Amino acid sequence: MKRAKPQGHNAPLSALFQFYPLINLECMKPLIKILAVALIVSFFPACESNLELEPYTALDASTGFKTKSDIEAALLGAYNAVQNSNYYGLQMQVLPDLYSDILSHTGTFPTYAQVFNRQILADNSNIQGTWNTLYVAINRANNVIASAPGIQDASFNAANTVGEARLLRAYHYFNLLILFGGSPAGFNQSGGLGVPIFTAPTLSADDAAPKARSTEAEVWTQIMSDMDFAVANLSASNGNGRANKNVALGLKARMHLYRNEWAQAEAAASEVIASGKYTMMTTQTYPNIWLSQNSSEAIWELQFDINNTNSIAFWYLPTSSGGRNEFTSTASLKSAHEPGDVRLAVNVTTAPANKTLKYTRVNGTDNVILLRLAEMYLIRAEARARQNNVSGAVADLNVVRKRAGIAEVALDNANAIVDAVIQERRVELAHEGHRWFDLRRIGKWNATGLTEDFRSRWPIPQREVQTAGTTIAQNPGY
Amino acid sequence: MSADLNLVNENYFTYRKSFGGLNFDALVGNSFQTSTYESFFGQGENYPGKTIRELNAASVKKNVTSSKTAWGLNSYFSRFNFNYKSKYFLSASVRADGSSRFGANNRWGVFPAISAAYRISEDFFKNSTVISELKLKASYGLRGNQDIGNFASRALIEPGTNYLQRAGLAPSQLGNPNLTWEEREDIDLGLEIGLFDDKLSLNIDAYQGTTNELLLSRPLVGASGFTGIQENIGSIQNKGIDISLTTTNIASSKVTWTTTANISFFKNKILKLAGTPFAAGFASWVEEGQALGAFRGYKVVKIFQAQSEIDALNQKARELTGSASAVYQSTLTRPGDIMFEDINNDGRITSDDQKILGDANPDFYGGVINNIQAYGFDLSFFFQFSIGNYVFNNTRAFSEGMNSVFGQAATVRDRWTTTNTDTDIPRAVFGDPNNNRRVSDRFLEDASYVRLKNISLGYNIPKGIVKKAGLTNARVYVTGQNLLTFTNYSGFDPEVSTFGETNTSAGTDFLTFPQPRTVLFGINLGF
Repeated sequence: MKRAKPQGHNAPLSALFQFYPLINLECMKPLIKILAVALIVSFFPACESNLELEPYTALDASTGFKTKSDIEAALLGAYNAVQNSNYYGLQMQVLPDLYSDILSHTGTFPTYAQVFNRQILADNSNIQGTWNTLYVAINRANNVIASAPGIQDASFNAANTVGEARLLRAYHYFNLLILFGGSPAGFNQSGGLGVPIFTAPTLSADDAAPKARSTEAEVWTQIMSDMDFAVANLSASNGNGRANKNVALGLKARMHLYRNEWAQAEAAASEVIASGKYTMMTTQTYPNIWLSQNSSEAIWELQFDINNTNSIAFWYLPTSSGGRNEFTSTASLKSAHEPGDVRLAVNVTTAPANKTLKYTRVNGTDNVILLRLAEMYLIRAEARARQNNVSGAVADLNVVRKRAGIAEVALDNANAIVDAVIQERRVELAHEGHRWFDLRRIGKWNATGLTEDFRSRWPIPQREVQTAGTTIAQNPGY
Repeated sequence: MSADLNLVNENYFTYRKSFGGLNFDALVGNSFQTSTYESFFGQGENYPGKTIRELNAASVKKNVTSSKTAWGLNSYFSRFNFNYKSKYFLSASVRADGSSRFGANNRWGVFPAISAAYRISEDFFKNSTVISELKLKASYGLRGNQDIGNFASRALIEPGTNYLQRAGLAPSQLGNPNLTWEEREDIDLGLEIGLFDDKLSLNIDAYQGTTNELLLSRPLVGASGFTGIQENIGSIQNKGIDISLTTTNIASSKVTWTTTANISFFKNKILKLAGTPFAAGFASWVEEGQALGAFRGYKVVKIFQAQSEIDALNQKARELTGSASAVYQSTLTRPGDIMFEDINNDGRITSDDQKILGDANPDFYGGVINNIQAYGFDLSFFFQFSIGNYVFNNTRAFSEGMNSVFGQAATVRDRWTTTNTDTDIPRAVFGDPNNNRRVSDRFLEDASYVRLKNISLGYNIPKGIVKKAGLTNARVYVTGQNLLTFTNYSGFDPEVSTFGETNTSAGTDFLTFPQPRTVLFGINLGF
């Protein structure tokens, strides 16, 4: 509602001017008294109060991010970027799952059809949206990181705040790398391609000038320096909706796995498992990881609520359930389940047919699990197998299998265990956006029928390449 | 609920003087303007009946938001008009405008204009029976444009990026303290000729309009965290000639017939663009040296008829790239798919194989109006035409895309099949793996047209009859608009544009509502 006004329709003109100082009496009086003088006078002393307006619905940037509460709001804004539909609010799961063998495209959008057919054009608007949003997220984190040290407030925990922002930044660069960088053989290989690195906030047009792509190794260096800071500085608990020390360790375990650094991956996963803060849900309660949300297994769970929603269930569900039926679980995902696997009912539902229990709330309040304990066991199982710790690997693998209600395996060959873990990851982490990156990191991008190796990396958005002039090189082949 | 408050305080003097054939008038003034817009939205449900309509009675309060914005404009202006014996004319004006929308360093713009005319006929053809009017005129002027968002020059941090039901803040816009007025510079040269007591009059105007300091969002690399910044990024030039001919064909006491025909030729070109070329709309492309309104995309060569054609191209792709897995277009290309042109001859279709395909600007356009009055009847009709303008018909990307399961246009019945090979519509295949639907000249159409824009026929009932009925006048008429259109354009209306006034993506049709064909019957009665 408008603020109360002192004058009604018949109020004297002067009352109006007092209330709206934009046309003020300093300007008016001489005009009323002596028009001629006023005209001459008003040419000289520019009466510009009505030109110096401040925005009402936003802050001028020069006034922002100066206090503890500003920084806290900026950090929440940085988490909010992760919830965007171009990121973990939809695309970061469904695009890789379409590109691998988790999801079929049953909808109408050509941009999704391109991903499902593995024929992505460089001007695909979904890919462009994801690239841009990841960098918006990075800029938000950069603002927190740059502004936090300037806060003079004894109650402000700068180390924890910067730790959260640096973890987010590392997470974004990691996701950029696995989408657009690396090499067909996987990650942390020589000659791997990287992405442009921005570590300072963009405050002006000059800051926004294009930067060339760094090498994959340079991006990893940046990621790992942020992760080490996060592990060293994050609090043990910030709630499971935000980053904390275990989130940092868990993410680090994932990153080391992608880098084929088995011992470090095992160590980081072990630390999370040994923290004792998380317990696996049971065979019976497995669906409640999603249906009840915030389970004992969740390490990092992106929190949505009725005022802050996502559209994931809407894109999955059939029209009869209020959705648009864009994505459907593949037949091969269904047949990847062993008999008796309780995960089948979660990954490939029967009513509605071939959807998932991981995203069911058409009102948009499904949480998105970014990190959970089962992944830690699977990371450690693979890392141990790669180091020929066969019994340790099998034990971890069986934690997940036993919970799923299927027979424990008794493998004694490390390679066979790795294969079994990759298969287990497909089923355990279906619809969570892992499968394509698992295939990529082990160099098996062709497992889903892809023949052209350049398509293991997605195209840098055409808009980005064109806007950068010659500064940003397109991935070869596009 | 919204309130729009616009306060204007305008003051000016005028001065007029005539002596010895010299007429002079002058004006000086200033104005201060402030416009404030506020809105409030509240939503509540479950009321106790329908009588109380205020939100206080809603038992479920659903949604509430409010907004406010404002702009200010201060202007100082003056104008001088001068003529001598209605033979020599001179007028000049200058104004200075300051707008709150621009950067603190550059709020003010100064815009002068001058025009002059000389009626040659007053000096040389005073007694001519042939030449009744000959006037030469010239003008130069600068105009300012401030058509941008109210706080477009400011670096902003916006609320609303919330998490965990707590308020978040995030940078939303980069600032540009140097943002200033867009300027349009017009130079016109005109000739007015009247012959035979103005029975035939011809106007010829040549113009060059250059828009400098163009106000547009300059694209930034997404890696910066922003996709654009409001800047004065370039200049665009329009050059052209307008010719208008009015003839009085018949002018008797019972019958008059006049015809006005006009035609315009123009070229536009982006002279300068700070930053790199960028895409707009669906297929539009903004690039230095090109016309504003250019389209860019892939180019269709043909429809593949046999797998052997595809295999041969794939083989060539392997030879040219040295990669054993290389293919020309897609691994899933099959007969019935479109072959796109390999513009850079690297053996493969990549994002580099796109080029300018045409533009939305006509080569020429104009109209012809005829007005005929005879024995109480009056007839007027107006034909309008535009030749050489292209439209990107994005509606067809959907209605002929055949990429998924939804309604398609009847034209897809003629799609390629093994038994229907002589067609330019590709095969139907779920998911369109060859990306036949990509932005290409497949959906670009010549939208030249001639249209009977308006026709009107009326009859004034004779005064004698009207008076008996106690009326002063009576007229019956029928008018029709858009009754006839001659065009090869396949969409509903060649004259429309989805993006309205957005000049970076002109000539785009996407489910645009066509202009209606209307027929109006009317009776005017005067009492």
